[in-house]
Amino acid sequence: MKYSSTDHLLQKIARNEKGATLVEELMTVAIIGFGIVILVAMITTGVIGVRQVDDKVLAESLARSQLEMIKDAAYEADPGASPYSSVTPISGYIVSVSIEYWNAGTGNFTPTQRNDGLQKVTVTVSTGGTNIVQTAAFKVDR
Amino acid sequence: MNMTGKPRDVFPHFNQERGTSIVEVLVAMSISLIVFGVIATSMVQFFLVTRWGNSQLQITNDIQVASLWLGRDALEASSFTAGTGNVYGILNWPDSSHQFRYSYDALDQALVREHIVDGLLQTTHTVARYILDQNDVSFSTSGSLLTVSITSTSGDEIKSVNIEFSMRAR
Repeated sequence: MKYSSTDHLLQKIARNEKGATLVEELMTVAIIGFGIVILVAMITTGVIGVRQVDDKVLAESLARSQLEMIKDAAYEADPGASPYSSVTPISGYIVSVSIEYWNAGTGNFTPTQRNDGLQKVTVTVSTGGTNIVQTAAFKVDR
Repeated sequence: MNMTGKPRDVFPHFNQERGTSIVEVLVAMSISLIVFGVIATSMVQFFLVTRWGNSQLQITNDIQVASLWLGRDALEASSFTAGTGNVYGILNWPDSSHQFRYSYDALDQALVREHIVDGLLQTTHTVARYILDQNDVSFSTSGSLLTVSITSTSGDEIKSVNIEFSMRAR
């Protein structure tokens, strides 16, 4: 029987075949697994980031609306008894307003109600028990 | 391929090979299926989440940008004149020398702001880019309080907000 040059080449290749060892296979699976873990981590981070931006923008619009409503309202000497009007919150968000009163004598703001013609209004927007935005403005009696 | 002999003659060492059992083949196929299943699921999730994130950022950006422009203009304006047709209305300075006209661009499905000085158009800005319908934006006033409602839509994602703006008293 006479073999051609192609047959010799195939013989050579076949004899030198060792196949993949278990360690090589495990390494391959580990690398693929590592890649998948990175991909999943990227997706998760992206989703968290988008949700944070979403929360932030909605909270900012709520805080802004609340401050604008207080700015538009007439000055209330005692907002504890006669509160400023409140913005309608978006579902899942809580808007809270706290007032501090200026003390003309000391120049400081105090939570105790007094009427020296200036109030510091702080609006806090929270969702899921976490404060997202806190912003403050001043209300002047004029 | 030039094969002049029988495979057994060409590859004599094949006679000593055991080959793989059906159990080994099934296990290999199972592992391959699991690996490819996980990869395929990851890829599909990657594209779905990317598209969702993109839509979310687009509509969030719409509301943020529109809110900034409207807040800026309302701070300068003392009155709002409701418009007709595709014009929502005009925010006016006390002496009307400066006006900010808000209208709907049906072609681009966008909310457009125009700055007019002494009756002459100065600049045009697109302040929201994902407004599918003219009714998705509305302006209303109560005294000097301007309420703007914006609904932005991108893909399957929709976001609506009402934003209040206090116009200058004088």
